[in-house]
Formats: sequence, structure tokens, C-alpha cells
Amino acid sequence: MEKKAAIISVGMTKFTSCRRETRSRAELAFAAVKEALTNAGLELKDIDASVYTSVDGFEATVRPARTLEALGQGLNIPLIDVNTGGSAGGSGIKEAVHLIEAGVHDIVLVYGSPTFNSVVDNQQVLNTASPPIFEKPFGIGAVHMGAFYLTRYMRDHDLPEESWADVAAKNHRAAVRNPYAHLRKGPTSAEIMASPMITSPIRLLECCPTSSGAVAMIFASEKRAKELCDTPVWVRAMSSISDTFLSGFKTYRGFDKLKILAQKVYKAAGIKNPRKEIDVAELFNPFAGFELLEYEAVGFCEEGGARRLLEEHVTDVGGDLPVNMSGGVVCTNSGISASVIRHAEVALQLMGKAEGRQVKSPSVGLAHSWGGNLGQFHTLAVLTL
Amino acid sequence: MTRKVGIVSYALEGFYGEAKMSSDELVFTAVSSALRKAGIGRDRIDAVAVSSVDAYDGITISNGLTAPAAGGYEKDATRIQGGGVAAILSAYASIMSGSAELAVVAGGDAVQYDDDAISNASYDVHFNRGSGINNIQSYALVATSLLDQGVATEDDFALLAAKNYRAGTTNRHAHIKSGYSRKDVASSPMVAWPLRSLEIAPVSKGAAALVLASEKAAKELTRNPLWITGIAGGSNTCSGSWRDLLEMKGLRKAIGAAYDMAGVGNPIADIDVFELYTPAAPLELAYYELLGLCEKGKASTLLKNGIKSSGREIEVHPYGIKVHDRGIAINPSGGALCTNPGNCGGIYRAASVLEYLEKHDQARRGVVQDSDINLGFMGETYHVMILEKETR
Repeated sequence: MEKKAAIISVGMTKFTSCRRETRSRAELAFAAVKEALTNAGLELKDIDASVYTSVDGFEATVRPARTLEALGQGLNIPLIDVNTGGSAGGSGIKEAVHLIEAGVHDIVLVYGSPTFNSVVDNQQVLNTASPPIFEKPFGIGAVHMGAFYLTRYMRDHDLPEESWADVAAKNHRAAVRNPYAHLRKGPTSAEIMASPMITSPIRLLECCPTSSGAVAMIFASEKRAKELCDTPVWVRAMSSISDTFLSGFKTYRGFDKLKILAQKVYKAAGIKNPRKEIDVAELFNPFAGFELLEYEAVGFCEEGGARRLLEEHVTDVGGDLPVNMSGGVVCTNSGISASVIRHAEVALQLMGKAEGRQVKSPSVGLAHSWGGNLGQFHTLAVLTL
Repeated sequence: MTRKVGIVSYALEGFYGEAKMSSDELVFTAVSSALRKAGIGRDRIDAVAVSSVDAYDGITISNGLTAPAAGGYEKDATRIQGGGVAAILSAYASIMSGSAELAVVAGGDAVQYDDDAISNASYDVHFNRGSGINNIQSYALVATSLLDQGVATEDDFALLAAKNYRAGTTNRHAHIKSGYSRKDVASSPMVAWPLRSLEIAPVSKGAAALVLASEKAAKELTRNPLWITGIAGGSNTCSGSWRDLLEMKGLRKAIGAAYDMAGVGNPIADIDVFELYTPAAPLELAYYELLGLCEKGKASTLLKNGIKSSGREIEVHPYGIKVHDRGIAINPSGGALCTNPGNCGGIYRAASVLEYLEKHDQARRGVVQDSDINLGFMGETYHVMILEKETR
């Protein structure tokens, strides 16, 4: 690596239901970007380039970045527009990191501001992400994608359905402490088990909502980060991985591609024992149960050991390795913002600025994003003080 | 910077009006060919950057279809929406950062779509979209500005289009090889005044792929890598740029930054070939001045007569391919009027410059100008890249 890149600032709006949202994409973006700039002591003119992340169809438009003029284009700076589905936030952050490490830019803004309120049914849009001839006609939507993985896991590990509710409850409890989260009612495991079945084995309160809101992050080169920030969060290693597009022949036996990615990223970061060396993590869980499969893929436990990790409260508040202290994607799924937020939340934790949800003195964090047809893409980043 | 990035291979599949393969098959064909030419297998590739827009592929998250076809299975893969050179920048940054040694950049166009509707959907929903504006109308507004400000005449537009069509007849990859004359263009139907149908680019199908390499990998794979010595971007506002369409501040910014990075002081003396993204003929006239090829308001003179450069004592002649020994070639591929794929256009233009530099010993340095104005002006982004045969 030629140069180092750091997160120096985060800005976020409160998230709400896409049906209740009254702010436009531009208003949301402006609020988040303004907060991030203010926190960093910067003005818009100080930004060298902006990276916008989106899935166009969810906003019922083509290339929404073209209409967000307040956020960099007004100064004619380079605009990088990244779309890799749900993982676009992670992919956008990777672009910013590479541009800084490459020496192309010193200060890069990454933001997402989806409202989701422009389309009648996002599931119809998502259905078009499935292979058009062989798989789309089955009517596959997001929840079906989740159900394949969880069904297989239950069969392989004789997991009781209550485990999905338990991990969902852990996330919901955490969201109560997060002032930015969308769902903050904190249902119990019993209440979650009593909620309607959506697609077996996933119940309503184990599903993410459709949230609206924005997040912005500012990345800086080593020199500028040290000038501008007392607690820069360094991107020690980051990468992504792609699976195949056709999904009918997959075994759905855990997140095998995430496992490969984690080994690659840990090697680059010099991490040998993630369970011991990582202090805090945000793992992408639009369906609560994903979190358990992800524990295993990122090496927090052996295959089949996720339930024990949960039962021993290792990943809860006060545990050795708190996971999704923001409440996770299952409590706030603002689409592309959700994948940016995984990194923003870890950065805030490391900076000691995660108001209400701060865990004790973490110094190494892990941020994950997931997206595309049946989770075709993952990104993973190791962030450190 | 201690590293540098070269392009070691390229391949094109197409171009035509109707694809006979799906976009993943097209991308696979182009990438396989580029890897074969480089003498490497997919296993050597570290990163893949796909250039596409969902609407042009007819599905959402369409890189799901094309990234594995581009060699991205189990690799670090991404998709950039601002044009082919923006995707090249992504791969360039991957290599310069040390994250990758070899990277593929690819795009493919297969789906038939309603270009007007997709363009209109990219405009602001409250203030612009309802007017029915689309890309062609926005090109017409730029052309009108050129007429209003006395930069060019309608006859110049036809002359320029004919120049590009003539170049297209010698390009085996071109979609349109008909070689339309100035008279053909001037008598073609009026579409959006002052633009006639033959002054507007077609929508082309096909695929393009590049293999980018670190200095070490490039020198291992080829004796003649072409180095990326300048690459930069810029953008315009969706409403602000209405004020003066010829200002193109984002493009000015991209050109200035790319020239600075590559050490280009006098483009007339320093550059041998340009491939410009001009989906309507008049745009090329607007770009001459911005690229430093003529003084303000002198684009028409350049087109008709060429000009003398004190720095190089050569004739700058946009009929480049006929006079390349002594002139600067501008759109020797025939430009977008002859070949205009929405997803892979920027990669195609980069390949065209690479091909020109390969074929012309005396040509040393080329410029690729790219943008997302296939969706129209206002809110557009630009990227400019400089390719060189030798290290400076």
C-alpha cells in the first residue's frame, strides 16, 4: 500500500419509514453531508471528489447522482457513481479508499441518501435483479433470498427457530439505544416469535423495514487525517468478492464467499485470530438470522458455533465482541445507506462517538456489506484506531 | 507516486445495431479475447471494474450479470455508472493503491431500449422531467448556443458529421460505416433544431474490454505497454449548467487536471490523437476550445482550415486519419456518430486510442475524453485520460 486512508468524520440523519418520509433525496443528503463537514471542520470546497452510492431502480430514476447538485457537482469536482446493489455502500467506500491510497485525491466524500418513496413496490424492482429467463419468473424477492440460506442452516445444524428470534431481539434491544435507528421498540424474543411468518423460517420482526435517510463519511489521506482529526479511523484492509449470477445450483450452505473474502482481508490486515483481535463489528443482516451465518463466515466461531456465541452473550452489549450495536440492518435498512452505515457505525465506535450505543474502548472493528441477487456481492473492511 | 499503470491488452466485440448475444455473453467474449491477447488466464486477475447503467441493461443491479462474465467470480469486483473512463479510473486506483496488480475493465451493450425515455428519467423529477426533455434535446440546446454565439454554422455541423462518417468507413469495429457525405447529412430529416438525424449518434451494441497492469506486471506481459499518465474527472450541476451550456466547467476541470497530471503544456504540440465523446456532431466543435486546440470562438476555423501551432510547426487537422503524418487525429474511429454503445463507450474510445497509437509509430500520446452525456446534459460527469507510449 502506497498511502494510508482514514475516516475522519461521519454525518447521519435520523431514519424513518419510507412511507413517512417528507424529505427529498437532496435534502437528506445535504443534512448528512453538512453534518459530516461540520464535524470535520471542513467546507464543501475542501472536498476533492465525491462518491455517491445508489441502486437506481429503488429511487424510480436513472442515475440519481446527476440531480444531487448541492453536493460537489456545484464545485465541478469529480463524481464517482457506484452501484453494486446492497453492497454499493461498501463498494463506494472502497473506491474512496483506493483513490486516496493511490494518491489521486486527499479528501473524498462518500454518501448515500435513498428515500425509497418513489416506487410503489421495491420488491418488483428487486425481482428484476434475478436472472431474467431462468429465475425471475419465480417471483423471487429479498425475503426469499434470505430464507434459502436460513433454511439450509437450520437443517445442517439442527437449529431451533427461536435462535433467529433471539438474534433479532438482540438487534432490536440495541436499536433502542441508537437515536438514529428506524425501529426502536425493542420487541422480545417471544414477541418476535409471535409475529407473522413471512417466508419460512423468517418472521415479520426478523425482517428489515424499508427505511429512508442519509449518511455521509469523509475519508482523508494520512497527512490530512492527522491535521483534521484527533481520532482518525484507519482503513487497514478492505476488499470485495463476487459470486456467480445464476443461483439455482447454489447449495446455500453458509456464506461461503464471505469466508473467502474474510481470509483475504484478514491476511492483508495481519489478523490471525479475529475472535480475539476484533473488538466490535457491524455485519449486514437484513434478515436477523444472517448475523449467525456471518459469525461463522468471518471467523468469530467455528461452523455451527454461532448459537453458542449468541447464548454466551459474546456479541451483545458487554460481551467480548459486540456485534451490530446500532441495531443492525434488521432495524434500519435504508438500502445503500445501510451498507455505508456499517462502516460509519464502526468508525463512530472506534472514535468513541457512538452516543447511547458506545461499547468500551474498541480499537479494531469489522464492517461488512452484502448485496446483489441472492447476496452475490460482499465487501469487508478492517478499521483500526 | 512510485507506481504506474499500463494498459497491456484490449478487445472489442461488435459493433452493430442489434446484438446477437446477451450482455454477459458479449462481455465474456471481449474479456476472454483481451486476456488471451495478454497471454494470461483469469486466475491472474485481481480486480474487475464493470461500466454500465441498469437502465441500459433492462435489469436492476445489472453488474450481477456482467461482473462474473468479466472474470469477476471470487474476485474484487465493482460497477461504476459514470462511463467507461470512470471505470478505468477505478481499476487504475486499485492498482496504484497496491490492492491489485492486474485488473479488467469491461462493459457490454445488448438490450434494445427506449433511449429517449431512459434519458428523460435521469432528469430532475420536479423541474425538468415533466417538460419531456431528453438527451437529444439537450444536445440541440448546446448546438443552439454554438449558433447563437457565432462559434459555428449549421453547415459546420454537417461538415463535422461527414468528417466523422468518413473516418468510420476505415474502422472495422464501427457500427455505421456508410460514409455519409456533407450533403447527405445536410439533407437528413430535422430531429430537434438545429440537429438533423445524421448529426445524432445511433445506439450501438457490442462490448469492450481492457487489461490494466502495474508497471511490473505490464513489463512482464508486453514489450510495449501504454501508460496512463493522466486521468481526472469533473462534474456539472443539474440546474446550474443551464446558465451557460458552453461553459462545461466540469469538463474544463477534468481536462485541466488530466493535462497537469500528464505534464501536457501545449496540447497541440503534445497530443497526437483524441477520441472525444460526441453523440451529436456539434459537440466536437464545443470541445476543441476546451481541449486547447483553438482559441475561443475559432472551432469552425479549425475544422475548415486547420491552424498552425508555433510549438510544433504542424498542421492541426481534424481529418486526422488522412493526414496523421503531420496532423492531430480527432476521432479517427469515426467517433460516437459511427459507434455509440451506452455502457462500454468510454472503454471503446480508450481502445480506439490504443489501436491508433499502436498503428502509428510517430504518434506517441493520446487523449480519451468521456462522459455520461448519453443521458443528456445538465448534471453530467466527465472523465479525461491521457495514454502514452513511453514513460515521461
